[in-house]
Amino acid sequence: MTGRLSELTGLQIMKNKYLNDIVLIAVLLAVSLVLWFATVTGGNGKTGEKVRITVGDEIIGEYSLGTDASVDVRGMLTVVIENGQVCVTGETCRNHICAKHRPISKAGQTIVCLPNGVIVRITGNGELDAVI
Amino acid sequence: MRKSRRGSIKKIIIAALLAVTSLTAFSSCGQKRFSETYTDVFDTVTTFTACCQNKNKFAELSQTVHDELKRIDAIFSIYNEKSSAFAINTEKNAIICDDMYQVLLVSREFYDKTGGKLNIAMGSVLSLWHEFRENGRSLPEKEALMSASAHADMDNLHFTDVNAAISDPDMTLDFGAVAKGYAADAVSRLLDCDFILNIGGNVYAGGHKEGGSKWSVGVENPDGGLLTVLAASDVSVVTSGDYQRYRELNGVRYHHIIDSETLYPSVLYRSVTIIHTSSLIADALSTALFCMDIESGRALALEYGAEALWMKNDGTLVRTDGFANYEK
Repeated sequence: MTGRLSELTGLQIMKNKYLNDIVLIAVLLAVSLVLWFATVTGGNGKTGEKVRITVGDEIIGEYSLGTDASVDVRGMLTVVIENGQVCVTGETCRNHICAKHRPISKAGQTIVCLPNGVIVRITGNGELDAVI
Repeated sequence: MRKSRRGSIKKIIIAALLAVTSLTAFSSCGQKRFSETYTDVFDTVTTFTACCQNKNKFAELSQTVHDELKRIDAIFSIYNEKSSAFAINTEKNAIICDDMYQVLLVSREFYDKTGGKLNIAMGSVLSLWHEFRENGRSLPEKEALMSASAHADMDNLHFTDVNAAISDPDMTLDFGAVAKGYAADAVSRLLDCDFILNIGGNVYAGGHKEGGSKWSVGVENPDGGLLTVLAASDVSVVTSGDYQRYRELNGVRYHHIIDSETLYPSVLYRSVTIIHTSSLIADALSTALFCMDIESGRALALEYGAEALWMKNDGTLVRTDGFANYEK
């Protein structure tokens, strides 16, 4: 009887030891998964697509792609955001290549006005790393 | 028996744990994506993106890339009075560096293989079109183009690994079809990290992006949206299109890729996209194929082991056999 009892207690101790291992491993797993998930989906992923306008090295503004807006860029040109699409109007440069660019709507796409140094870029989730 | 089974379960769990933590480490590993844009090289917009531990590390890397691009632009820019290209064009005899020699070698090879469709010696023709795109109110005159094209014979360019000479006083070189490709390759040789470089339509994708997947490269549809999205790793993607550099006159668009036979902008396609491990080869092929019929272009791409995508004027797409392997 005593022998069986001590045997049981021994088993229980071993079980507890095993359980502790499992708990430790589960906690580590959970932390790792949360960290991994955060790095994979984090950053700009949750903020949605934005329209970033830069002049030279300077970011002059970031706007939601989902909100219609008209942005005057220092009198050089106007960036129009409408129905999830972005285009450039009213530019004053020679070849009007930026104004003739078709509206852009996907993350990673850009419209460039080289003479004025203006770059309009859509940033956000699932962004293309380059568009050519 | 029980002990060993328990041991193996433990081992499996630890292995799984290690896998997940290493995945965490791999995707984050203190690595963050940084990007910088340069507008002072190759008369275009260049974007350099890399995954780095911190902002300072990236700034260092970006400086290296920017310096290398400026160095190469300063060799091949025909408008820079201090460049090697300018010296060859004006003095008709100049000492050259290894970068110039390598580009001349490939250019000569392509001239022969394309029957002159890729011709860096047609600078005199291209400068008339450049002048029109920059300031001109009227098109270059046909006679002017014809007489300029009489001075575009690559056989009048003589070079060794240290010297280049032009025996026709009216002939000049133009490296617009090859310099960006050479620069992208030079940067890729310099870096051993994961990065993607886009020199105005000339992309080199090195390694993988954060998380371990291949870089995504969108090919623009000039009529709006994208033609396709490519998954790229250790490969270059280059597009030549009628929408990149152009000037319109009386409603007609005159772009920058001039057919060496007609002496006018090539009207065969809207764009041609090339995938190749060398950006220099991809750059040269995209220009050449833009001015060639599809079957000749397909044969040339095959010879170089390149993949190609043509967007025809009616919007339909034609691909080489292996192109789809890169499409997402």
